[in-house]
Amino acid sequence: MKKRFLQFVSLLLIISLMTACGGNPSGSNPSVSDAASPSGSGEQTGPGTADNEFAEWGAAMKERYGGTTINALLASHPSTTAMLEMIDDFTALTGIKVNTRVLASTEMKTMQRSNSSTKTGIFDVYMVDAFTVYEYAKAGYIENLEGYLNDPVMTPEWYDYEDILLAFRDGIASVDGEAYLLPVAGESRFVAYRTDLFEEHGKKPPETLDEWLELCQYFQEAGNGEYYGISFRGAAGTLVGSAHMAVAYCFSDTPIIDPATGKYQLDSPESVQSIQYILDLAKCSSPDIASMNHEDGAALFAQGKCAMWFDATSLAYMVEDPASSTVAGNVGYFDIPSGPAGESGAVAGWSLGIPTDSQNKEAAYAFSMYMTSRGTAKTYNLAGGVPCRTSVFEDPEILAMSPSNTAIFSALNTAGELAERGVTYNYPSINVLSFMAVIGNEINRAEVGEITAQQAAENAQRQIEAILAEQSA
Amino acid sequence: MGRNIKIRPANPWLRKHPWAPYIFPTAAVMLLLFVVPILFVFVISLTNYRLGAEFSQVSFLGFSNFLRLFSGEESGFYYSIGISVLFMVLGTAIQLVLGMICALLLNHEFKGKSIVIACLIVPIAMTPSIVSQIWKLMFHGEFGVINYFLKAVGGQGVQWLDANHAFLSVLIATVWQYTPFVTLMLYAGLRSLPESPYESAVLDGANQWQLFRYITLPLMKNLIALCALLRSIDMLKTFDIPYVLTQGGPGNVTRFLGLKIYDTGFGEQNFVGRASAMAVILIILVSLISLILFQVMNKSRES
Amino acid sequence: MSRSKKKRIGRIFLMLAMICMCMLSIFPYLWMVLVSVKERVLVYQPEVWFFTPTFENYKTIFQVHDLGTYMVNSAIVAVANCVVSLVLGSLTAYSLARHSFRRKESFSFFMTFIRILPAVASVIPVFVIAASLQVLDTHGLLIAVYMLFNIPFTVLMMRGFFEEIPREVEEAAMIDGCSTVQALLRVVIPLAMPGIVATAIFCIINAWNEFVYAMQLTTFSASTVPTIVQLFKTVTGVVWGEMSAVGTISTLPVLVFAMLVQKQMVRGLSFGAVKD
Repeated sequence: MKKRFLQFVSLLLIISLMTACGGNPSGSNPSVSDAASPSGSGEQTGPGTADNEFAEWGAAMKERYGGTTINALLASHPSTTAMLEMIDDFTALTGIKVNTRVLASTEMKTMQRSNSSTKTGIFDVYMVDAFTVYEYAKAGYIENLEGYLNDPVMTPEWYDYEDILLAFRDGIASVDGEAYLLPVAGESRFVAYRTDLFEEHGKKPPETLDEWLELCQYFQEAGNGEYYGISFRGAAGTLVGSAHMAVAYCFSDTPIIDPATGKYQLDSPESVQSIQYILDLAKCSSPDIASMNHEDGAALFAQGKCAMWFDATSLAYMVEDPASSTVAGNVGYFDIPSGPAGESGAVAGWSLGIPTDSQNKEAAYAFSMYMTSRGTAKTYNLAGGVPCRTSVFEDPEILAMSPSNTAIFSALNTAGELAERGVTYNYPSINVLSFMAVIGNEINRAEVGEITAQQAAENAQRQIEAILAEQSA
Repeated sequence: MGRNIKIRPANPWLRKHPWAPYIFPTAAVMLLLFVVPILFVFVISLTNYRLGAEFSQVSFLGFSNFLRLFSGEESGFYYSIGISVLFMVLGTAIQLVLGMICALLLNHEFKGKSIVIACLIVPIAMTPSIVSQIWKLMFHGEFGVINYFLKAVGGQGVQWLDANHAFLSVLIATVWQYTPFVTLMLYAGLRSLPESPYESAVLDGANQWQLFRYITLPLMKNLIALCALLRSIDMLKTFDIPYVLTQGGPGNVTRFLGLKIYDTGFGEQNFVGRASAMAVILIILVSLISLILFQVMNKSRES
Repeated sequence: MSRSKKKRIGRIFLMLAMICMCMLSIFPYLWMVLVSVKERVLVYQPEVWFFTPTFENYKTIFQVHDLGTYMVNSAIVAVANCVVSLVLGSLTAYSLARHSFRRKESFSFFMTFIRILPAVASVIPVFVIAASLQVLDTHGLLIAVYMLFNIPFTVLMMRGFFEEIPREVEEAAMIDGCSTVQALLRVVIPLAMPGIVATAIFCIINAWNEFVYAMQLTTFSASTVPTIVQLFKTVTGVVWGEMSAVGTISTLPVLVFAMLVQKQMVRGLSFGAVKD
């Protein structure tokens, strides 16, 4: 009896030893960042600013937060690649170590939601998609940064908040006029086209949506199977949903929701037209369009298999790198042409924010501020980061870096014009992303011929209303 | 050494229930790991819980999630169930038949058998999620090695991951991954079959096929049923391989139920309540299959 | 056709079949190794079979992506879980084999039934519970969670082995003065060793390869090898060379172990289900 008891006790001890054998979130962890080698100038501090300005701030940070380790959850994005290269400089300056986890954007968002809703406190920095800003702010996931922005020690002169393009300060990083995030990548949409093909057929970039569709149809026919008219993200969910959203505002100021009344109107005639437009574009593309994500679309264009490519500005590098793109050097760009309601530009992008359950908020802010400041902007952009600052676009060196930069700036400006028209692209709702997914799913079904544009609009409207009803239940 | 039979255990309760200390720890662990989560799933399926919602905001919806699924509001739900069941039936059948053939072949005496078995172990040991990445490369339309071989023998390349072939590709990868397991399982069974029935049957003039049909099969029925049970459950729940290989695409062609649940709960919309409802349906489906097959197993165990 | 000629043809056919089986089984692994030593450009040219190999990918995955830490995590989780599952599972299997009690078969059915729970379904509840207990991203969490499938598997496999051991052996030991537990440890376990080894290898395989729970429940400290695939879906597409290198290395420990215990593995797989 005694022996049996002893043996079970030892069994339990073993089991509890096993369960206690866990690590803790910080400490010696696998740093999952890419090769972190300083790029560009190789200087300790960012070029374009006096050395001692960084040093002063760096010393202050080191004194207060040196030795801390923060965990950053970042999305797979060229800006992240740039930031990863800047981490060593940051750590040398401030003594703050950074562990990073880089995930594809959907997985990243799921991880953000599951961690924040259960307040795990594991992460200190979030990279936040423009479309989830309102949701996160309202749910209390991210910190209000007004306090930090106004603190001269935490936000030194060389940050220059006003330098960030207005459309992005307001559109992707603030809620109710207060800053919750620091924009890191400004994105819009434009269309890349094959200058050589256009020249061959005597075509020029379109001014209106109708002209654009005509061009797509023309090249689809002319290509005769060798190449298609256009490629874009046609896969279900937010992929084709975001493509649709980019053109939707050309048809109406309020294609999805009327902010004045708060009523959703996917089934309005203009919205149906916008859906039909995307479907028409899809017919001028590869038969696989309904399953193409951004990589597939870019690859198609980069391999010379289509005349035009409609996607986000930040992905231009995918078709401009001569090592992997056969069309590099023959690429021109134009903004989304104007539609019945005028010009439109997508306002999207990424920003850095601090989860409310973080244990190292100040250190996290130091990181976010450093990565998105004007002082480090040049290093960031040279490393492939996506710009969102006026000063960057006025820098001839950066503009010369790639042919697309001028076009990007033009697209971002057009996006700013939307605001002047009184249109909020990123409407304030916690459901922006999920509604985009709903719309995208229905459009995808129409793409494969399952339903018509009208039905897609009606289905989407119905589902949106159902989700809203559930939420207020 | 004299006879020294000690009456163990001294505790009368333990004497009456000697099995208790062996069973209770396991039962406790299983209770914690299985019953609690599954209760959670059932409860969440009755709510409108979305990932990130405050628990106070979550409200009880009754069965409306389920009604939603069956009314067709959730596009692709019936399709998911359909292809999952099809995948299960096809996959299990192919694995069993191929496995049996390989096991029978393996059941001869020849040199180098341990090498063959070692080769069979490779698919069993490889991580499905990692090897599916390699399948993705092998299946690639342009740079895939499978198309390279096809073209080398004069055939045409196939777009393995397009809408017409994605299901087949997932099936191929899955069959490759798990048939060796079935093979070894059946082979182990064949090895432990008694000799005498065969000897007498051969004396009576039976041929190979008759030997197989009238002796091997009935004796192996229990093991085959167990195999079918294990494989069916796994096939119905399939996730790792299609998740990596096709992500459910192109479109929704390979959106098996496990993937659909994942997309709904972890995808862009995080409708965990709805995902749990689908999970409940999946659990019910799997339970039905298990019950049926378990009955078959028990019947042959008794006979 | 003469008898011996038939036999010869039969042998040749058998050889061919065996070669076929072997090639089909190991080809993906071989291909993976091949890709892992190819230069990036060559990966897109499957027709190139002869080239100078490069080991850059292997260097990168250890230095940059820290594969070593992932493997250590996987090893800790797999081995610890294997031990715990074996202990608990074998005890239960032993009891099912030896004792009889009411609802024994129901309990046994329940053990097999546990498989019905899909990981995608229960990962959220587990996550929520783990978050509230603050055990997220720990080895212990995975060790505990993996018991969900490894214990029933152990019970299933070991029961047959224990049933094969005749009671007389234990009774003889007990007559010689052993307690039940001592008989268990000194006599039964050594006899059941092949089964234990077989079960151990499968438990380790299951724990090493598990993907869904590992993906959701770990971030920095306890990430296991399967979660590493996410890293290779970079912005510029999949880095095939490095991914293949990861696949090659990460399979090796399990593969080697499995090949060493081949015989026991095969024996164990009969689950004691075939009866005289």
